[in-house]
Amino acid sequence: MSRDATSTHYIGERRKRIEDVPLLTGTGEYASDLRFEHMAELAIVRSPHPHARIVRVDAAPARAVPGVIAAFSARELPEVLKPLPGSPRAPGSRFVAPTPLAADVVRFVGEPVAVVVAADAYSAQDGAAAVVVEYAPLPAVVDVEQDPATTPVIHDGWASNVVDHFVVAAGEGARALERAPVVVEETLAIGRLSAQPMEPRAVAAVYDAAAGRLTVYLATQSVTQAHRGFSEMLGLPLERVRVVVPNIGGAFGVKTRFYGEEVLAAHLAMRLGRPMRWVGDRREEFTVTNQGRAQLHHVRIGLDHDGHILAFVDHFLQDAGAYNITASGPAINAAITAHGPYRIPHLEMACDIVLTNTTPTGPYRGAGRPEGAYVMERMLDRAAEATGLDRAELRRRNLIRPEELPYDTGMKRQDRAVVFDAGDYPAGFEQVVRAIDYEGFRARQRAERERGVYLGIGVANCLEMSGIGLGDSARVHLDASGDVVVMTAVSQMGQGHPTAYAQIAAERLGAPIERVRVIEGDSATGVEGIGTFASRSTVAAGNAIALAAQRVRQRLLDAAVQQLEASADDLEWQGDDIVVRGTPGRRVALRGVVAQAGGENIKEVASSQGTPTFGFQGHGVIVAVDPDLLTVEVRDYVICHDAGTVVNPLLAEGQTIGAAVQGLGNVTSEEMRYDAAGQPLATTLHSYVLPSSVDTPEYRLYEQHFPARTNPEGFRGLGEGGTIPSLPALAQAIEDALSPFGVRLNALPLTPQRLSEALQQQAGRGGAA
Amino acid sequence: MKPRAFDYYAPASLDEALALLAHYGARARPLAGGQSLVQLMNMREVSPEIIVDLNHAPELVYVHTAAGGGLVVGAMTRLQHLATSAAVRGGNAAVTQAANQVAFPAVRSRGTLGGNVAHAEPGAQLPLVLSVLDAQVTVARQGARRTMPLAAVFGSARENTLAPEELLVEVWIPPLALTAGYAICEFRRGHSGPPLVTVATILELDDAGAIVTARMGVSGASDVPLRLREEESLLVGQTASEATFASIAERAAARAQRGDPVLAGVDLRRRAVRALLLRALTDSAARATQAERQEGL
Repeated sequence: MSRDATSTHYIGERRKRIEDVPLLTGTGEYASDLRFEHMAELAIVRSPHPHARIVRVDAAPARAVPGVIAAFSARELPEVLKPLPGSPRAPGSRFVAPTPLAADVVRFVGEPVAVVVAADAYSAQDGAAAVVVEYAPLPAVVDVEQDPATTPVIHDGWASNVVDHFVVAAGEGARALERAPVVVEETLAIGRLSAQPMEPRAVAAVYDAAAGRLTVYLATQSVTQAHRGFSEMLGLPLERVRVVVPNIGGAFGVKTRFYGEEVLAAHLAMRLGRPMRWVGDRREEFTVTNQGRAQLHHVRIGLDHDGHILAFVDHFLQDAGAYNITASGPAINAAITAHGPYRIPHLEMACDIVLTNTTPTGPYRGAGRPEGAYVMERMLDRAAEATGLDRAELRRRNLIRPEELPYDTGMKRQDRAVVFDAGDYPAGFEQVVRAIDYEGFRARQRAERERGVYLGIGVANCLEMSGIGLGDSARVHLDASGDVVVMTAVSQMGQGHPTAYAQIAAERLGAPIERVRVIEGDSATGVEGIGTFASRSTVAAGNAIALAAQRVRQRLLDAAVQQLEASADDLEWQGDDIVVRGTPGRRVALRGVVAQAGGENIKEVASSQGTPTFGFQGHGVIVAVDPDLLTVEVRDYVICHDAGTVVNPLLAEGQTIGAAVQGLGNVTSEEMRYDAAGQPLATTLHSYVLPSSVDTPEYRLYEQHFPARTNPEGFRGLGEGGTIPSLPALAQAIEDALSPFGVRLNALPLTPQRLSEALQQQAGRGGAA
Repeated sequence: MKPRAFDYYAPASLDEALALLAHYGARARPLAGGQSLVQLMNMREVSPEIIVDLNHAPELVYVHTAAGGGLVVGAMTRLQHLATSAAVRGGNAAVTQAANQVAFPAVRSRGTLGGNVAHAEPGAQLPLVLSVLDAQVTVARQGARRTMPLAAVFGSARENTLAPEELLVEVWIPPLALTAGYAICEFRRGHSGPPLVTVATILELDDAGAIVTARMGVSGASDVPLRLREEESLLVGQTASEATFASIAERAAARAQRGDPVLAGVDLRRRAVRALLLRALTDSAARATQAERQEGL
């Protein structure tokens, strides 16, 4: 059965998002818009200390504040004083989770200590200000490089602050370095960032005491993890908890995890018998919500004299903050992604997960992948210098050729071989090199420098690992009238699922797309899955939708073939009928077909099958650096990416550009810095500079389309690829622009302040050229 | 991000507002456009007991041409009006440019000239540009008025020198000579980020290209706008040249004392002062020369 003759193929079609009208007209509902009768508001009392023993908490003064309904210290809420459940943990990794309120020790500025419930948010904050907390400050640990002999241990019962260690290896690992005639060593750092979605975290909880049912409205990327989390923390059976995800105003990874405020809101809704809401503010978004990156790498790369990589050895530290809330997830991604599209016979990525008295770090756009790519690509820059080869040429010599695919890296991720599936990496890279006019650049650079303009160029590649943890389900439901409802366990915060998933379902079902509606982010659907993160949704949920839709179609066809006595290939869905193509008189009402196929409606549930896929992405960038103000202006930016089978090119481009802009912010403007005492130095959008639409350069996009070989639809995730190689490409370009000053820029970010510090240090060494 | 409770008054006239300020003194804060004060209140960094909202006193909104030249601007005149008014552009185009550089249109349409000056934010454009233009302010209290140089409003970072019962009610901006070349250059992070360093220069040249008058200042390098008086006198009589300007810029850069570890430390601000002053002086000299030629036509 095909679709209406007038329609195009839905998969691959550039369709505008169907969900945008409410979002653009201000009528879309977010968690903080929800109102319930007798709803109370929460305010959280937070630690001003990075590390302190809690001597005494007296919540009584808060109870005397007008409007305050209740106030609790941790000790007064023993029911929820247990560690928060975490994300699915990697085997062997050690998860260190906080409790919703800290009872004995606070371990970062912003950690929750007490909670105040009031009739309105103003009174709640007045109440929070009245709570008396006495602290005995402890020495704070800020640096990730720690001397175990002198560094205080942040969590009792641990020998040190190193709470996890893992090694990803291929070939002979570090031993192979001994045979390498050229070895380059470098220390590289990727600074700490804060995601700052437009909407801070928010939750509203409603408990129906008569029915014993809890409903939580939560801006989360993982409805199923939250569902299980509430059940576990509150001791309610899963069937008595419902989690509903309203619109989400951005997430970028930081709304994946399950947080303490959510448990407090739900518990207090049950305990006090009235709806409860907590809406985080911008300062809480800066101090409490997961931060990202924060890695320090000690790297050695070994090459032969012709620039072929022999070995890559990286011992790195992940600053996890005060808890290891992700069970080392981003660090593992960094280790896998460092390999990139290159032939690397021997590799060793060894990581220590180290705790500090800072806000916990977790997934943030790329979740380790940009860090991994940064390390590899910057080492290739250094290797080019050491071997006297051009940076592009060195990369060329090491790129895996198409005939070598699938390429088994020798690495293992969760005990499974990491295999690069499909693509043409050299072609993608040459596209970038050509489009950015790499060959012509040096002449242009010389000419511009004579006029006082400092141009620099950078080229970098990555393989974007996507589709991890496949196995998500989707349900496709066709009712008697011919309306199709698609349900998934992922949730969207701007990716365009309602449009893209309707395209997949309509294509595989042969249905007019107008009849397809997508429902996500509601645990009541009962659909299994783990959520939206790691560029996985379209691979995980998309394949499941396609499969379920095909099954529905098969059931429809079987029934229609009987009724129309025609071949299945000749049937098409037109309006409310199934017709035999070319003979309009031969038609049968859809309603009748559905009735015959399955009664009132047809439902099919399917799960995605497959393994992660690796899509090439190359970036080329030309920047101009103001030699005085040290600001960076992007003059040209070229991206070539292999998106596999693209569902909707418009959405794919949006994802790629958005991710690239975030990378630009990561490198040139954003920095979450702490002082030596452990106080965060950026807690407002004045001091944490996000790129705006006006700062966004024009990105020139080129695409490759090698369908992934590891899932039936050939989908690849592309939510993070735009960020991943942007870090090294921009760093390389900025360093190239400032090369007359002789600075080596190993640590991100490269804000004007950081560049100023680098130039000062360079001048101190007397090394200015 | 919710303020503490406060009492709110919306006086319908200036007299009523001054009476409230006289009565409540330091317990009250006047509310102009609220683009800075409301943020600080939401973060509970400032928690006034009483707010005296000036937005209902229409007599504070005006732009007149002064009898002896220049502009007289009511304190509650919106920045967007300053940024777009033909009268302001005709009276003093430097003010038009400075007003246009404040934040973005949404902030400008609410923010006011009086509020912007009285807030005394280091690095801000208008306080600097108006100081360099030798603007004057009128400050009122119940039953009395005084005028003083606008530059004297700034006590320290975000602190003005006005008494609690006083209100900045008017700014007088002297005319800019047609032959004067002005320039305003700023260093900010991101398109809509706050200015970290702003430099303003005004030069007049004679026919031979010698500098007749020089006025210049920098904000963001110290807690209050810094008028570079010594550098001004050093420039007078010199021929406008890159070498002259570069040495002046170098000298002024050393005066930068303010810095923060995240956005711009002292070293980066010195770089900014040096570069921006050189750019501004060069632009000012070029514009002064142009103006001279137009005059001669």
